[in-house]
Amino acid sequence: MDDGRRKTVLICEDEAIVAMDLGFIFEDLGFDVIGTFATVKSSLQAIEEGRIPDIALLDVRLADGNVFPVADALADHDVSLIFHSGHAGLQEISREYPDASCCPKPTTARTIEGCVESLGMLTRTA
Amino acid sequence: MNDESDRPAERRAAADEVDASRLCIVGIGASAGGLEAISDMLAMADPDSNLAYVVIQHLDPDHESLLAEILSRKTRLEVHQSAGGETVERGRVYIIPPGHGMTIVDGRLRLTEFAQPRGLRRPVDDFFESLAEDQGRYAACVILSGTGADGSAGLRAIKENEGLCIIQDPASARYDGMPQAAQATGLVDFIRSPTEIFDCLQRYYSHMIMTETDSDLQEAVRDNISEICSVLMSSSGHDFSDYKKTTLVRRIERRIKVLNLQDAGDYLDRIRADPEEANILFRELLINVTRFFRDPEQFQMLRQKVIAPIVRRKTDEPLRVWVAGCSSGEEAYTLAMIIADELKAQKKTLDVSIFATDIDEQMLQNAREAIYPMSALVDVPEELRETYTIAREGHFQIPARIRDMVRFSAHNVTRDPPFSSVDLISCRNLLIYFDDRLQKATLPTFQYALRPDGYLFLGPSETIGRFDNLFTAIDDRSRIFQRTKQKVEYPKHLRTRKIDPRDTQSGVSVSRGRVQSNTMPGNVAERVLNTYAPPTVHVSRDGEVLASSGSLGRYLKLSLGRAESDYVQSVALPGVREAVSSILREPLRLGRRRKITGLRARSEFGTQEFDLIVDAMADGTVLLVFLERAKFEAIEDDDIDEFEPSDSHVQNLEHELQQTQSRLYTTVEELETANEELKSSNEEMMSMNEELQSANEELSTVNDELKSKVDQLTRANADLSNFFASTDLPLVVVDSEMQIRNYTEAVVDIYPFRGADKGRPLKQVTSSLEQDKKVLDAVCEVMESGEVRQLDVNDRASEGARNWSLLITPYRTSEDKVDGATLVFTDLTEATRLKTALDIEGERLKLALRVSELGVWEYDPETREIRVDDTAGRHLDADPERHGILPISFISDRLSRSETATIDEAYRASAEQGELFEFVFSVTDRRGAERHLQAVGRHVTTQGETTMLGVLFDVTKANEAAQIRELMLREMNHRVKNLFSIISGMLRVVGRHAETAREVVEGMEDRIEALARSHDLTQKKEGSRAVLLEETVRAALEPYAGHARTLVSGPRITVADTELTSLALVLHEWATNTSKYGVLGPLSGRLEVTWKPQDDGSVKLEWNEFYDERFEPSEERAGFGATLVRIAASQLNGAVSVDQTSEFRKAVLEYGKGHDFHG
Repeated sequence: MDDGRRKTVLICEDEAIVAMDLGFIFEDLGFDVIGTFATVKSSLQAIEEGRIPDIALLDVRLADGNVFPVADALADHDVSLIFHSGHAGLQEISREYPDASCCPKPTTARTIEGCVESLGMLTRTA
Repeated sequence: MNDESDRPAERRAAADEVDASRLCIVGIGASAGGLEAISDMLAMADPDSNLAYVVIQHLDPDHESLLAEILSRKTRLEVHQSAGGETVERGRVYIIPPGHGMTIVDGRLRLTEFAQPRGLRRPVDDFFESLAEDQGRYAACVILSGTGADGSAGLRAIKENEGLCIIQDPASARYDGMPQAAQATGLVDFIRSPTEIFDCLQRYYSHMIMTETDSDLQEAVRDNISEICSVLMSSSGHDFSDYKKTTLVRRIERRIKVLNLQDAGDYLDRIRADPEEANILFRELLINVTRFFRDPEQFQMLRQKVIAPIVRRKTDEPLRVWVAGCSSGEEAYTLAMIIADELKAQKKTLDVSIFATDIDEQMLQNAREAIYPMSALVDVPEELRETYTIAREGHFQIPARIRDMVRFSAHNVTRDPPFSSVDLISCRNLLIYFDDRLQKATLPTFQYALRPDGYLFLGPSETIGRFDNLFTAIDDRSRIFQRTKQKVEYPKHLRTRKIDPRDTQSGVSVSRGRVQSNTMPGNVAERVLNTYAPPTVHVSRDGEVLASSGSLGRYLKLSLGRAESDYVQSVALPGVREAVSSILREPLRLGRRRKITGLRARSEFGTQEFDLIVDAMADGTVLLVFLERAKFEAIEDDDIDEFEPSDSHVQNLEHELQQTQSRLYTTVEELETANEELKSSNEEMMSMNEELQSANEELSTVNDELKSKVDQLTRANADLSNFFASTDLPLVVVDSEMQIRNYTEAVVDIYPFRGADKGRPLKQVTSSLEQDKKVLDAVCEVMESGEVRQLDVNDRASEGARNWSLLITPYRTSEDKVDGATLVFTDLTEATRLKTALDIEGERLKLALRVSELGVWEYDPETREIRVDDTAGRHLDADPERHGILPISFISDRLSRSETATIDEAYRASAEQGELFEFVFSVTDRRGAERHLQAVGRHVTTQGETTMLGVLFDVTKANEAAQIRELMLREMNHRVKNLFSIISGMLRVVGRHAETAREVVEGMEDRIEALARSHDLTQKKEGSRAVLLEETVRAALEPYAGHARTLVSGPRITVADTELTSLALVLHEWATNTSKYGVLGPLSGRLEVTWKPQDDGSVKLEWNEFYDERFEPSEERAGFGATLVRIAASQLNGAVSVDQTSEFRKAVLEYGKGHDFHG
């Protein structure tokens, strides 16, 4: 997997500041942010356009609905998923998506790092 | 002795199978004092025995009888007053109703109307007679206390049919008349006190049933019968050994049962040892029933074929009739009546002698009295009744002129010498009792007694047998026979008869002109006496000549044939007479002889000197023996003269005597007349006495009943007094004058009565009631109308505040007459208060239900129906046509499957554990709206029926509100967390660009404030109105108001919640930038913020700064702020462009392309 290129991340988050913050965190972890999307629609469009990341951080509730269609589309492309939500119900999500990782809102950089690590995606270069 | 063996009752009884449970009917006759005796007797009775009881009591016909009521309290038996027609059943008591007689036919009671006036009625006799006829040996009669003799005749019938007779011990009876009279018949089986009677009955019947099947007993009796007959022979003098065996056996057997003996041997011992028992058996064997004009057709034929011709033929010689076996005399009197009537018809007078004979002295005594029960009167043909009977109280008598025609005497036709020269012999139903031998002996006796052309009249089942040479039939059917010319022989058996033991008992051997001797043949002794012995006269103590012998002509003046002269004093010649008279006047010492010497008897022929020996015999008679002392001195002529004066003296005396006699005769005649008058007065008195006695009986019965009633009344009165004393019910009783009759203590609160107020008019007592006058008026009204009235009354204001319900009822006497009124007060104060409170409470509840839209329902599991009120009906959207009654399916059909499961579970839990039933369900009404309903209920049990009662209410709105609240909470939670995310994110972002903590703080506080402001917008908005773009812009500019001329303008565009934060951040960054570096800060100029929607649905927002002075802008600061704006714009699905000149700065945000989330 370590093909030398930087790993990419896709962020679905409708709060601008949070999206920016998450982007920074992932950049700090050595990821290229290929997009932050506030809506399901724009996210699906990006996937359709072939912008498939290595990992995706998905806020469960987006401005135009639940993120699950996006999650399903990404899962089809074997993208590792991290769900990010303020809602209760992360348990149900991990039942639906057993391979996915979950982190509750508000989160910290360390939590995200833990999630990424648990997914085996942490390839911090020195 | 009359009887017949084929009576229907007897036949029936014999045919009956003997059944241990055969019903035995006990007739109970009682009168005065009977109530107590009946009660005592029936108190002991066992309802399970096979006995039934019929009580015949003399009752006052004008009054209801309480007898049944009183008796039913004393006995375990069922007591009924008979209404007629009942079939008598075991264990019950039937009581004669007042004013009726009673009979029994085929086991059913019948009421009869009395044919006789009061006082002549003998209901007990009547009933007993029908009972005997109907039930035979299964009938028993009991005679209890009472005056008079009712029952005695009926008892004879019972006994004749072989029933049982028990009487109350006269000593224990209040009035012993009836038991005494019954006892006098000699036919009573048991004499007991009332309490012992039941036991006695029970024992007799069980013995009867036990022995009935026992033919051994009959055999034993048969074996012992000759022994028993010989005992009877020696005790009564009558020989029954030639009587028919069957009758003898049956009657002896009955005695054995009565005495509760085991076998005939015991009985033989008993009868030997006990002369009284021998007498009883003798009388039982002679039990007989006879009647006037028994077999009327036969008598009709007799009158026509025999009596009429005889009467026609006779002129002066007497008509002689012999009635053999006359019993109590009915048959003899029947013949007497027929003869008297025939004489009247032929207008003749004849000397008629009817000799009526029987062996039963007691019967003969009854016959002589000629008094018969009224019930027998019907047997006498109506046309003869008037003339030949005299009605007495309760019975009738045969008038003296008929009685005088009949002579009753004790005579045994089989043994005693017969009468002679008889014109007619009537011997009915006697021969049937005789066996063959005795019958053969009797008929020749009759032939001997009859005149050559005399007649014999037999009973319907009797014949002359082989003796058709002695008699020829005149009318075969009527059993009338005539004597043939056959030579008559004195019946031989009568000559060789046995010595009558009664004659030897009497000890007086009376024989006229003959002395019996054992040592010499009779004719020799006679010769000696008449020829050689001194002349002797045997006289009684009074001087009656019993016998004489020898030549007495010189001592006595004999004129034989004149009965009146048979006294020795009157026949003695002068000289003898004086001595004899004085001797007979003196007391004689028995067994002693006296001799008087030197007497001279003077006859008209001469004088005889003699001695007189007076021998007083042991039996009280006297023997006078004349011993000649000298030769007879003939009277000389001279002597005759001497007699003359004395003769004339005698003549004078005789003349005087004659006069005296005629005076005496007149006097006697007068006396006889007076006597007759007295007699008739006496008869009247007797009949009055009878009436009084019967009235007295009725009165004592009534008295007994009244006593018992008085006891009850006393108790009832005591109960009432206690009630009055103890009740707290205010009650006043007033009489028809409205005077206070009685009141309870509790009424004193209303009417202040004092002890002496009883009898005071009610209106004089002022009550505490406001409606005093109205109450008095109402009382008057009630007494007039007789109808109950109810009034609501209350205390006068000054007295208190009590309310009363007053019920005024008419006071009715037992005759249903209104005699006053009863006022009953019921305190309603508490009730009224409760009612008001209840009304208010009810009103409140109704209001609460209405306001809360609570519906009430009740489910009945029996009918599976739900009863709902209007509100519940509305909730359930039930058709008003159903009137609030819905089948359970109305609900269950509308439930989903899970709801059905839930409701079943809830119902079961409520039914089993008594938990509160709670159930929420949804219904869709006819308009299609879904509503949620909640039902709450509980099982309640009223009057044994369990139903579920509960309420129903609409929870649609509450449910919606709850859902909204939950939604809001989730949203809030989300937002708060979002906010934390934003802030933590912002903190980290700011932290990346800051050098110092101061910078972080400054960077944070502005932005947090901006976010707060934008948040404010969402809170300030009214209702669900969306936030406008203009508001968002103004909010961003708010901290810089007045810093520059500012234009904010654009069409009305709403901002979605999702856009708001990003938009606010963009605007904040722009405003901050402008205040730091532009017209809101160091530069002068103006700011124009405008926006307009684009064709593709996006919004173009322009932020234009116009500088007043030219301004050379420095390099665009691509700092943190710019990044934030860019990200925010991308969040808004938009882009930002900036155009900077020296005269203006133009920042453009195009966002919301497609506006796809604006809806």
